[in-house]
Amino acid sequence: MTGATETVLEAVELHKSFGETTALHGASVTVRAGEVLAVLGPSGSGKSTLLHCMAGILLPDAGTVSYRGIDLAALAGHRRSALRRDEFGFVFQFGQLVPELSCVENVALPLRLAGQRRKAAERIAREWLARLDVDTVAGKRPGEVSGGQGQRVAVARAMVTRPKVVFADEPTGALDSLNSERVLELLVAAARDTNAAVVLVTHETRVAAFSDRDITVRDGKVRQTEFSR
Amino acid sequence: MSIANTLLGLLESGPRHGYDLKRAYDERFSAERPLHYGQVYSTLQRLLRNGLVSEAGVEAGDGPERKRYAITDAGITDIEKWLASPESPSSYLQNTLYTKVVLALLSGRGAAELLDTQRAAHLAKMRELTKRKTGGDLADALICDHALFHLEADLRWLELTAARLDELTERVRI
Amino acid sequence: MNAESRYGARNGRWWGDLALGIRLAVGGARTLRASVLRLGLSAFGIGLAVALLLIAAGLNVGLTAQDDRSFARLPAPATAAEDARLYAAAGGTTFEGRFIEGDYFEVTGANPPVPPGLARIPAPGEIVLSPALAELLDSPEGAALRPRFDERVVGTIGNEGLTGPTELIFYAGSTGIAGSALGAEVPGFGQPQTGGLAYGIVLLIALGAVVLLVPLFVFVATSSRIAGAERDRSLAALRLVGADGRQTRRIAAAEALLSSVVGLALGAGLFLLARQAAPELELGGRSMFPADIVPPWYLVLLIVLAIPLLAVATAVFGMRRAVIEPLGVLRRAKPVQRRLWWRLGLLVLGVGLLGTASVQDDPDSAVPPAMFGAVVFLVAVPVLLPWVIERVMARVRGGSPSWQLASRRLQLDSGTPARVVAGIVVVLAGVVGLQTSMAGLDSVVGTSPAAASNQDEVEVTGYAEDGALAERLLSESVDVERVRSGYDVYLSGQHSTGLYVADCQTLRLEFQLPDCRDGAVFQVAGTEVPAGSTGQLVALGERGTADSPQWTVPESAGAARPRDASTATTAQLLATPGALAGVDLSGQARTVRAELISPNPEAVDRVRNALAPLDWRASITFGAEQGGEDSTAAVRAGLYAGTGLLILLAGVSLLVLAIEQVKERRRVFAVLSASGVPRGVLARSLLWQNAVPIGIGGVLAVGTGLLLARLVLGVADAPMVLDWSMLGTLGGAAVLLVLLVTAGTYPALRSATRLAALRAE
Repeated sequence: MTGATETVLEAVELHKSFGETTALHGASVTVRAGEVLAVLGPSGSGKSTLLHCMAGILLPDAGTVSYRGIDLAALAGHRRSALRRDEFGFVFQFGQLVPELSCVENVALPLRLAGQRRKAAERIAREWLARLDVDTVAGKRPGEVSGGQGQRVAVARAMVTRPKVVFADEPTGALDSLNSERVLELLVAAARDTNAAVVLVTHETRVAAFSDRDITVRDGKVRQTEFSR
Repeated sequence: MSIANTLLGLLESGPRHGYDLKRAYDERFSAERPLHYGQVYSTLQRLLRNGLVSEAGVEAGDGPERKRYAITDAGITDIEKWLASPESPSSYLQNTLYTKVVLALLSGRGAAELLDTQRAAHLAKMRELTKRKTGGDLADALICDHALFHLEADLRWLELTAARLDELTERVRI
Repeated sequence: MNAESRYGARNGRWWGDLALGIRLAVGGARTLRASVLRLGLSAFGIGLAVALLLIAAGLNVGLTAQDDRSFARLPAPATAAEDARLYAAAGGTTFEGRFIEGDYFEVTGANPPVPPGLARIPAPGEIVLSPALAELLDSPEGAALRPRFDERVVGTIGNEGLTGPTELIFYAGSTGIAGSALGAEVPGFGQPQTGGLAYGIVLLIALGAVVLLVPLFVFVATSSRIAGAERDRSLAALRLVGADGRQTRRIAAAEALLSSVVGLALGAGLFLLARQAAPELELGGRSMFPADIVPPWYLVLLIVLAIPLLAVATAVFGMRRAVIEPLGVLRRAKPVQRRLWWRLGLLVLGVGLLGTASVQDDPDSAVPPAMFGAVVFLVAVPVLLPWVIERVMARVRGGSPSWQLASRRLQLDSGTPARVVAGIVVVLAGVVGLQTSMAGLDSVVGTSPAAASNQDEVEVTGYAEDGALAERLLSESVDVERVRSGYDVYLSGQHSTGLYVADCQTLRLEFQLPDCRDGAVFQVAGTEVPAGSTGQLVALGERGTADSPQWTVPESAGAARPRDASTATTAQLLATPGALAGVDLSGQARTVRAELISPNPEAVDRVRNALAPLDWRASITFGAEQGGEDSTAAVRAGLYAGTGLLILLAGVSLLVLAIEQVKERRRVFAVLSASGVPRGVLARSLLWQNAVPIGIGGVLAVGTGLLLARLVLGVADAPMVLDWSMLGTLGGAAVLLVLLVTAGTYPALRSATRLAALRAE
C-alpha cells in the first residue's frame, strides 16, 4: 500500500459497558483509506463491540468516533442509518441475508433503499454477483445456496453501494478453508478495486494474514503492533 | 533456543547450584533427554565469562563442594531482551516458545505480551506468504499453504498454552 | 415375549416421545424465557377461548334458569272455579330509561297465592323491593325516583323471585283493585313456558351460536401453532436425526397437549373469575346470578376433551411438511404449492348442507343441517385463506423495498400470516353473514313499527275519578304546556269500534275536520261502520250489560282524516261531547294527553313523579320513551356483545402472533438495521405484512359471509338486503385493527433492532 494515506475513520479512547461488564476500556483505532485492517483478539475481548462502535451501530459511553471528520455521535439516528447504508458495508458471519428475498434482491436492497429504481439496482447487483462469481445463484433464495456462495452474496451486498469502509465480523467463521480463502480474496480484491478500507474482525491469523495491518484487542484496549506495514 | 537463556531464566528466581539448575531444567523442559552436567557447567562458565551470572559463594557439604550462581543485572537485561524478541517464524518452534512462556510466567511477566509480539511476527510472515500465494502458481500456493498452516498451528498452540498456564497461575495464586 | 411386555415396551417409547415433546416445549426456543413465553402465549390463547366456551355453555343454562323464574312469577290464567283470593294490577314505571316492573296486589280472601321470593302479600301501603331497586332508592342517583315510592318498605324480594341480581322490581299492596277494570284475578303464580319464537329467530340464534363458537375453535387451532415456523424447524431437525414420522407427530402432539392443558386450567380460572363478576355485568337490562352460570357437565366434558384434541390435531396436521420434507423446512426452501381441492371441498360441503336445509319444509328438520352447514362453511374460510394468499401473492413482483420485503415473506410462507389473521377473518365472515341474514330476516319476521306518537306527549288513561285526577295532576305540573282530555269508549254492536269523545279543539289536533261544532260526529276515513249503526257504549275491553247506554251513529256524521302518521288515536269514530248528551261517561276510560314543554329525561321523570299518586290506577305512556318492540332486538344485542368480545379476542391473538413473528425474525431485523436500513422501512414492511392478509382475508370474509347469508336466507325464504354501512364499518374496523396491531408490534421491532440483538448471537 502507498504510505501517508488519509484517515477515513478514527476512534479515540472508546469506553463501552453493558451493565456490569466492560467491553471497551479506552480503545483507539485509526483506519486509513483503502487499507485492510485486521482486528484480532480472543473471544470476549471486545473486538465485536469495537466494530459496532466504529460503525455507528452502537454509541460508546465515552470517546469519539469520527468518519472523515464527522462525529458519529453527533448525528441523528436516521442520519447515522443513512451513513451506514451509503458509506459503510457490512459482512457478518451468518444470517445477514433476508431469507425471503432472492440473492439478487438482497444485493439490490441497499441501492433501492437509497432510492434507486428496481431495474437499475438489480442490474448493478447482478454485476456484483458476477464479480464475486455467484451470478448463477442470482434468482435463488439464501436458503437454497451453499454457505460459501451465501457469504459471497453478502460481500456483494456490502460492496454494491461502493462503500468507503467495509466492516467484516468473522466473515468466514462458518466456512471451510478453501471457501473462506475464496471469500477473503474476493472481498479484499473488491475493496482494493474501489479503494474501500476493510475492518476485518477475526480470531484466526490465517484470515488476518489478508490484512495490511493488524491490531489486537485485549481487555477492552487496543494494542498496536509494530510488525504491520 | 539456547540452554544459556533458559538457565539464565531459571536463575532469575534466585541463586542456585549447578546441580539444582540441571534438575530444574530437566523437570520443566526436558524430562526425556536430561541435560549433561558437563553441558550445564560449560554454559555457566560462558555466562560467568560474559558477566551475566556471578558466583554467589561456595557451600560446603557432604559431597563435592558446590558453587552457587546468581543472575547479574546484565543477565536480567539479557533475558528480558530475549523474552521480548519474537522468534523468527519457522516450523517447529514450540520448544523455544514453550520455554519462553514458562519462563515469562515464572518470572511473573505474564504471557500475553509475549504472545502478541510473537503473533505480530508470525502474522507478518503469514501476510507475506498469503501475498505470494495470491500471485503465484499452484505449486507456490501449495507450499505456502503448508507453511501458513504450520505457522497458524504454532500460534494457536501458543495461545492455548498461554491460556492454560494463565489458568494454572490463577489457581496457584489462589 | 408375551404381548403384555411388548405393549409395555411400546408404551414406554410413547411416554419417551411425549416427554421429549414437553422438554422441547419448555426448553425448545433459544432461551428458557422465550420458550416459556411461547408456551404461555399458546396457553393464554387457548385459555381465553376455553373461558368463553364455558361462559357460553353456562349462559345457556343461566338464560334457561332466568326464563324459568320469570315464568314462575307470572300470574296463572284465571279460573272461574275458585273463589277469588287475590287481585293484581300492573304498576310498572320507567326511570332514566330503565323499566321498573311492579305489581299492586289486593287480598280478597284467605290464603292468597304468593309470588316466588315473597313471604306474604304486602298489605295496603306496604311495598317489597328487589335488592337492586332498594339500593337504587337509597343511592343519590335514585333521589329523583323516591317520590314515586311513598309506601312503607317491608322487605326485599328473594333471589328465587328475580331473574337476575340487577333486576328492578317491586310488589306493593293497595285497595280497590278488585273492583277496577285494570285489576285482574290471580288464582296462583306460575305459567307454563311458551316457546313461540319465530322460525327465523330460531335460525338466527342457531347461526349466531355457530358464528360465535367457530372462531373460538379457530383460535384454539391457531394458538397451538404459535411460533409454528420455529417449531417446524426443530421438528424437522429431529426428523433428520432419525425420529420417524410417528415419533415426530407424537413429539409435536406433546407440546400442543401441554399448552392446551395449561390453557384449560387457565380458562377454568378465567371462567370462575368472570362468573363472580357476572352480577356487575348487565346486558339489555338482564344480569345473572353466578349460581345460574353453571355449564352442564356434558358440555364441560366436551370442552375438556375437544380442546386438547383440537389443539393436538391442528399441531400434528400443521407440521406435516416437517415430516414430509424436513430438509426443505430446515433450509427454508420454497414450500410445495398448496392443494385446492380439499379446501374447496369443505366450502362445497357447507353450501350443500345449507342447500339441503333450504329445501326442507319443516323448520325442525331444517335447523340441524343449516347449523352444521354453517359450521363447515365458516371452517372452510380459514382453511381457504392460505391458498388464496399464496395465489394472490404469487404474481406480485417489485414494489418499494418495504413492500418487497413483505410480499416476499408472504410468498415464502403464507401459512403463518394466514394463521395470524384466521381468527379475525372467521369473525368477519360470520358477522357479515349474520348481519346480512338479520337484515333479511327482519323484513320477514317484521318488527312492529314504533307506535306512532308525538315525542313530546304523555298519555294517561284512567277510569272515572282516576282520569280526572290524572288531568288535574298534569295540569298542575310545571313541565306540561297543554292538557287535552277525551273519553275512549267502545261501541259494541253489529259493527264494533272505538269511539273517541273530545271537544272540537282537541279533535282538530289530530284530525282534519271539515267543520266542527259541539254535537258533531265524524267517521275516520276508511271506517267500516256505516251511519245508522247501533250499539252499546261500554268501557274498553268490557262486555256490555243491560244497563249499558245505547247509541246510534248519526247520518250527519262527517268525514275526518288523520292529520299525519303521528296520530295516536285508533278509534274510527269521533264525537264531540254534545253528541252523547245524556250518556253518563263518568265511569269510562278517560284519556288525558299532555304536551311537555321540553321532553327531556329529567322532565319525564318529574312528570312521572307528579303522577305517582295514581299508582296502578292509570296507564302512563310517554312518547319520548316509546320504542318499537323489535322482535330481534334482544338476539341482536346478544350477538353484538358476543361479536365485540370476539373481535377483541381476535385482536389480542393477532397482536400476540404478530409480535411472535417479529421475535422469530429478530436476527434479520438486527442485521438489516445495522447495515443502515431505516426502522421505518421495516415497520412499513410489517404493516404490509399484516395488512395484506387482512385485506385478502377481509375480501374473502365478505364474499363468504354474503354467500352464507344468501344460503341462510334461502333456508328462511327471505330476500337479501345489503347493509353497506355495516360493510363499511367492518372495513374501517379492519384497517384500524391493522394499524393498532402494527403499532403494537413496534416495541418488539425496536428491541429487535436495538442492535444489542446482534451481540446476543
